[in-house]
Amino acid sequence: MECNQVQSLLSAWLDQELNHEDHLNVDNHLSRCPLCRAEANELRLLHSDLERALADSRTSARQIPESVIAQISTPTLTPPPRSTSRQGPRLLVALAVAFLLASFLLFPGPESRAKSREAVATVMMSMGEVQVQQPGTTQWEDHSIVAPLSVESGTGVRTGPLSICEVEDRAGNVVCLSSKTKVSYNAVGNVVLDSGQVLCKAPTKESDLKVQTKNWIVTSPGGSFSLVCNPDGCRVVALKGKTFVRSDKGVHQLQQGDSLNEPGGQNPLPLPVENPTWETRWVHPLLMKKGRGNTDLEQRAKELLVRLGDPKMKLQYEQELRRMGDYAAPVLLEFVRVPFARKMPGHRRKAMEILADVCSSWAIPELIPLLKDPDVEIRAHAARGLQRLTGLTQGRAPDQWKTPDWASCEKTFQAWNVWWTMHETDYKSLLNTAPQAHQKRK
Amino acid sequence: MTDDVLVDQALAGQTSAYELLVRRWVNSVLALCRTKIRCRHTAEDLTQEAFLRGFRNLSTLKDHSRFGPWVRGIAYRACQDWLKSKQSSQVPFGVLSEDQEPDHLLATSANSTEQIVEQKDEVERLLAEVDALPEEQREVILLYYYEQGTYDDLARLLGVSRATVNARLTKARAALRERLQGARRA
Repeated sequence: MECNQVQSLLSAWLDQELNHEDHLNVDNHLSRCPLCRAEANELRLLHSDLERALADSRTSARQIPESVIAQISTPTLTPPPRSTSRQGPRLLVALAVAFLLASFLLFPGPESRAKSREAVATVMMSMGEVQVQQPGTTQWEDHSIVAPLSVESGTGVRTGPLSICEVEDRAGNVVCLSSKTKVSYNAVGNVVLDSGQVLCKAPTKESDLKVQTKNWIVTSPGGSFSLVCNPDGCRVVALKGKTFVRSDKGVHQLQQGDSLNEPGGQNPLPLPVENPTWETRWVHPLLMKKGRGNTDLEQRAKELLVRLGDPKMKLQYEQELRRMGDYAAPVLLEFVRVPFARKMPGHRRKAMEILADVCSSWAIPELIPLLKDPDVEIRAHAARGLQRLTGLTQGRAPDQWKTPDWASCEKTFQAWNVWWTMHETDYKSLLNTAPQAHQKRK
Repeated sequence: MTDDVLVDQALAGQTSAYELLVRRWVNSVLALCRTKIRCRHTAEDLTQEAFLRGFRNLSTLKDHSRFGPWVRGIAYRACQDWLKSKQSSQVPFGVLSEDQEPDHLLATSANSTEQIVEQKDEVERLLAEVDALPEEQREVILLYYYEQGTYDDLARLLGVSRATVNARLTKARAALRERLQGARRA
């Protein structure tokens, strides 16, 4: 991709609006071209400035709904015709509710006090043991989560050195706890992080998930963030969308991919993070446990794949992709198949090597066409994958596919196609086990 | 909950449903008003006015799922009314203080932009440059940063293609960078 082409795509790249292929192309170009990288940084700076400049207006926009409703409720405004007859009763009902609410707050009886501790969230899944501290007690009880565990307001939840878990509250906000993490649930959408690391996800822009630490309140309407707290301070990384960090020094707005550290001097500034996915890789086992069709995991596999060319970290990224196993396979397969990847032969061969090692039987019909790939290394990896999955070579060992003489391979290629035609029904049930992402693409 | 359900509930007298509709569409309507009218306070007043008019006339909305575009249409007309009233020297909402000239309130008043830029700090300089963009680019920039939606969301709102949204945003950002760099060099 040429510089002028990349620069014309930078705006959409910044907004995460490019298709997967173009996004990878731009990423790769930027990793090589200092000129375009400088352009991208300039654009990112402008983006942050615009965010900041227009933040005030957005804040005041939040007051408009209240103001509109206040005016609607005044008798001078004509309400919609169908609601006219209901105004009087509604006022009476509102007064009655207000009276009851005041009575409840001022004179709560023993029963109502007990009821105030309602279930606010559920531990949906865990790996390893999770401990729960019931409200008003100091004891931590062990829970091996087989069925979902209900969490009342005021309950503490903590994980051990080898356990992780996911908690979802009644509003759909999700908080994943890393190992050695302790949180308490005050109410729906109100979580206190005492220590450890959490990954938080608010499902919609209207979601009101607040995670409190000693000095911060962190929110991200419709987005997700990672928050880690230890005795030295806290660190937040905006993973998706915008994240807001409120402290006594004011409000920091973090763009996707920014981090904020505490302590960070008088005025800590958000800093871009090299690889947010890598920082939060501890969550991958939980995502894998969720099963097929997991877009979060697919996105994470893509981000690791993009960075496979990083000379310092490529081994670690490769290991993590291998750990994801079959869940990473559709992303790897897509990359190997797209024409633009041929411009990055090393990257493509590595993706194919991992794919051949991790994919399961659904990938057999996808591997056979790759035996005819122009790159002999790809052919050899495809043959190795087929041998692993079927125990067959059709008379040609994987290394023999490395010959530049395609004519000598053609007969075996035809044999694989014939074999598949004859055995497709044997594998029918296994084909349905393909990750949903792959089935969707098909 | 979808817009059509909320409109039904609002028509049945549930004010909270209308409040949800306002919360859902306020950024988009405000972006439209700010595109038409430079003064932030006036744009906010007009946004509020659009939702109030919407509430009064909710029973006339035929397709309840089209609440958003419908209320944006009301906002557009409210802005036009305001601009007309400004031309006839009648400025509603009482936004003018003694030292403000009515011309400063018009988003399309390019001549006054340079004077303002000289006097403002960086944030206001940037906002002034946004105001000085051609209307199509200004609209897409304001909508993108207020609404914080995807290109598809913006395309639906503006009734244009996703590629057009991309092209306008790209042009707007390039123009802003150029103008700001020019201002710094000067």
